[in-house]
Amino acid sequence: MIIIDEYIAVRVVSGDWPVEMPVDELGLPTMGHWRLLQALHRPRGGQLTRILASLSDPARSALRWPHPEVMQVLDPRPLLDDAARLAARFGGGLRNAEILAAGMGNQAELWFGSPANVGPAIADGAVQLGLHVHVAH
Amino acid sequence: VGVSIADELAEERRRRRLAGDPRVTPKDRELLLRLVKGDLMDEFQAALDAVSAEDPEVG
Repeated sequence: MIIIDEYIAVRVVSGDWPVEMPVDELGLPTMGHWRLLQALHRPRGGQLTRILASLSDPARSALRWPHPEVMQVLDPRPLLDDAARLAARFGGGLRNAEILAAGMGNQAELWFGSPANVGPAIADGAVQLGLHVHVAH
Repeated sequence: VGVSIADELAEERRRRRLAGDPRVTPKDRELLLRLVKGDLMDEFQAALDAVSAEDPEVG
C-alpha cells in the first residue's frame, strides 16, 4: 500500500497516475479525505469554488465516495493509538499523526502532490521513523 | 506458456487503477487537474490549509 495526500487522490481519481509512483493499492487517511470534502462542500469564493461547482455530479461523487479499486479511505480507528503517540512525539494535529501512523502500520511509502502539503511535522517524523516521503511531479 | 488467470486478473486490476474513476468525464478531469497540477494549485493548497487552521485538532 501507498499512503497518499489530497493532491494524489484527486489525480488518481482523474486518471492521472503519477508516472514515477508505483502501481499499488492506495490509502487516503481520513483527515486527508476530510480536508478534500471540506474544500468540496464549503465554498470559500474565488476561482476554486467556481471550478468545484462546475464539476459534474458523478465526478463529485467520485471524490465523495471513492471507488475502492482506485483508492481506499483508511479506517482511522486501528491507527488512533499510534497516531496519538506520534502526535505527542512529533507535534501537529491528527492529519499529520494519521499519515505517519498509516505509513508505519502499513510499512508504506508516503506520496504527496506538492511540497507545500508535506509540512515540517511529517518531514521530521518520517525521517525518524524511516518512512520514505515522495513528492510527485 | 499461457498467461495465468492470476496474471490476467492482476493486469485488469492494474488497468482499472490507472484509468481512474469512470465517473470522471474528460471535462471534469481537465477541471480537477487545474487544482492539483495547474493554475489553481495555490488556491487548492490554501483551501486545505484553511481547514487545518480552523480546527487545530485536524492540524
